Amino acid sequence: MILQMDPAQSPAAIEAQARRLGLEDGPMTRYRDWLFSVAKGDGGWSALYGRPAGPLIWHRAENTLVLAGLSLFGAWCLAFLSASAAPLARRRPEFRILDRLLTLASALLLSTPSLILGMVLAAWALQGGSWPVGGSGDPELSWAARWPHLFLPSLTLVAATWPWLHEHLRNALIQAQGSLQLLAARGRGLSGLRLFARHLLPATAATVFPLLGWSAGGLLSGTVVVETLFSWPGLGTLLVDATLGRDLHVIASLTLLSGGLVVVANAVANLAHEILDPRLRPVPTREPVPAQEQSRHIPAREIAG
Amino acid sequence: MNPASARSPQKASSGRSRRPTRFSPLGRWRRLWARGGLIGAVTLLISAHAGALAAGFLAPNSPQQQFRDYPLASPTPWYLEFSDSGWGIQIVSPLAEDLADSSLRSPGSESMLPEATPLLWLEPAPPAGFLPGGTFFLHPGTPIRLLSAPPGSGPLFWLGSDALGRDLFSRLLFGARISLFSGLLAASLAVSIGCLLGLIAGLGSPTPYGSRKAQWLDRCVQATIDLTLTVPWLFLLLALRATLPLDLPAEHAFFYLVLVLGLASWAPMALIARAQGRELRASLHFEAARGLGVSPFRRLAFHALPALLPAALTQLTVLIPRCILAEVVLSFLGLGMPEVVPSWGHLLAEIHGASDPLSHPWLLAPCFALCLLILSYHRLADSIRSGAPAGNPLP
Repeated sequence: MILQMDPAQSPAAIEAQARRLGLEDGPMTRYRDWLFSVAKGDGGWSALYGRPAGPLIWHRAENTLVLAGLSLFGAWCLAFLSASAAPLARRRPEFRILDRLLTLASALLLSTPSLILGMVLAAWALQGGSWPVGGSGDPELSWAARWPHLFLPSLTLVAATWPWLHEHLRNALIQAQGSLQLLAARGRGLSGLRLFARHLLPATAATVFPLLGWSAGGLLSGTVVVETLFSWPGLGTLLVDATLGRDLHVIASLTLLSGGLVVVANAVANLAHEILDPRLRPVPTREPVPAQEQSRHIPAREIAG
Repeated sequence: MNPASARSPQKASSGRSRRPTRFSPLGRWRRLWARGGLIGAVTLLISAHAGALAAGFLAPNSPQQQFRDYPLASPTPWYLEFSDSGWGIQIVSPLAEDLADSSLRSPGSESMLPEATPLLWLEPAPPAGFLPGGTFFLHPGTPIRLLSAPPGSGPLFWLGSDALGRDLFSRLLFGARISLFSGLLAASLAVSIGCLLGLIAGLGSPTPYGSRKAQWLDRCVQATIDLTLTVPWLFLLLALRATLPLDLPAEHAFFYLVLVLGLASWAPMALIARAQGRELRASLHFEAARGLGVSPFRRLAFHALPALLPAALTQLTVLIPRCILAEVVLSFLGLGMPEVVPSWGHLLAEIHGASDPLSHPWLLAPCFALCLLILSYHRLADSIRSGAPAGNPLP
C-alpha cells in the first residue's frame, strides 16, 4: 500500500500513521488482518473516510439494492410483455409489425451504452427541470416518498437490461412454440391465454432461470456507470471514489461483496428452478414390469405405424 | 367449418402447405437490406479505423489547440463551388460569419468570404510537438494535412468546437486512435490468453483413460475462470485498475489500459476453449496425432488452435465493443488515459460536465459515433455467429 500524506508533515506523524494503518507488517500479515476484519463484518479500514469500511458499505448497499432490484423487476416485466409479441405474431399477423418494431428497438438500445443513454436523459431532465437528476433524496423519507429520484437511474438501467432479456426471452418463446409439447397441447384443443400461461411460459424455464441470475450480475455491473452519472449514493459511486482515492481495503471488500451478491443471485435462481421446474425433479424409480406383462405391452411406434 | 374446403381436401391441404413459404415480393429487397446492412457495417468499421490511423492527416487542427475566440462554435458551414478554374470547397469561416452577422457584408457581395479552398489542400502543419517522446498513439499530427483552414480566415471546425474552443472533429479522430485500438488490442489479448489457457486446461483435463499429470493445471484454470466470472465485470475492471498507479504516464497509459482490459475479459473465451479442448482430446484425429508421436506443442498449435478459430472470431467481435466501451468508461471516470490525450471517454465527460449540451447538439457527435460503431460491431458479430458451423458452443 502506498501511503499518501502531505510530505510537509513531520516524519514522526508519518510513521505514526503508517503504524496505525499497519504498513510495517508484511503483506501476508496485512492480508490476514483484512480477512479477519472481513469475517468480523468490518471489511478493513477505509483510509479515505477514516473509519471501518463495513458500515460504509452496508449503508450504501441498501441504496444500490433498491435501485438494482427495482430495475431488475421492471426490465423483467417489460421483457415478458414485449417478448410475448413474438408468439402472438405467429398466430395473428396483425401483431407482426409490433414484434418487428420491438426487435428493432431492442437492437438499437443494445448498441446504445447506458453511459450515453443516462447522459442524454440527465441532460434532458436538466433542461426540462421535471425530474431530479442527482442523489437519492432525503434519506429520512421512505422510498415511496422519493420515487422521483429513482425514476431516471432506474429508467436507464431498465433500458440497458431490457434488450438482452427481450432477445433471449423471444428466442426461447419461439423455440418453445415449435416444440412437440406445444403441438400436443394445441392438438388437444387448448388455445389463448391458457396455452400461453400454462404451457408456453413454463416451457421457457430452462432459459428464464439462468438468465435471472445472470441479469442480476450484469445489472450490478451497470449500476457503477448509472450511479456515477446520477450521483446515486450506492456501491458503484463508492467503488469509483475508492478507486480514485486509492482506498484499497474498500475496493477489496466491495469486490468480495459484489461477487457474493452474484453468487447469491445465481443460487436463488438455481434453487427456484429446481423447485418450480418439474422436469428437474428426480424420476421416481418404478417396479420392474414382469416378463409376461411386458410381452403383452404393445410398443407405441407400432400403434403410430 | 367451410363446406368448400371439406369437399375438396386437396385444395385445402395445398393451401396449408403453401402458407409457410409465402411468396413475398419484398423478399429480395429484404435480403439486399440484410446484406447491405452488413456491407455498411464493415465499410463503416474499416473507414473508422482508417480514419483513426490517418488522424494526423485528416484532422484540420491539433486536438489540443484551444481557439480561445471560438468557444462552442457551431460546425463551419461549407459548400462545393464550381468555377472556370476548377472546383473546391468554399468555407464560410466563423470569422466571416461574424462579419456577416454584424451586417458589414451586404447580401450581394461575396468579397468578404475567403477564397475557395481546393479539395486537396495540402498544407504543412506547424510542428505541434505537444508531448515529448511522441509514440504513435500520442503523436499529434503528420507534417501535411488535408484541408486545413485557408490562411487569413478563422479555424475550420467540421463538427464545431467545445467549451475551450478545441476542434471536436480533430478530437474525435485522435480519440478514436485511443478508443478503437485499445478495444481491438485488448480483445485480441483477451482472446489469445483465453484460447491458450483454456486449451491447455482442456487438453490436460482428466479423461477416463488419459494421464492425470496436467490435472492440477486444469483445476487452477477452472478455479480462476470461475472466480473471474463471479465478480461483476466492471467491478473486476476497477479492482484491476486499482492495482496500477492513479496517474499513468502518458506514454505508457495506453499499454497499461490494454493490459487491464485484456486481463479482465479473457474468462468467457477460456471457458469456450476449455470445453472445445476436452471435446478435442477425446476425438479420434487428436488421438491419432498423439499416437503418431506429434509433440504436445505441435498438437496445440496445429491441431487444436485451428479448430478453435470460429469460436475465437465470434468472441473477438463480441469482445471488441465491450472493451471499447470499457475504455470509454474508464476514461470517463478519470481512471483511463491522462487528460492531455484525447479519448472518447474524455469527450463524453466533457459533454456530461457541460451546462446545457442539448442546446449545442454538435457536442453529441461522439455519442453518435460510439453508438454507430457498436451497432456495426454487433452487426458483424451477428453475421459471423450465424455463419459459424452449427453446434459451436457459443455464449
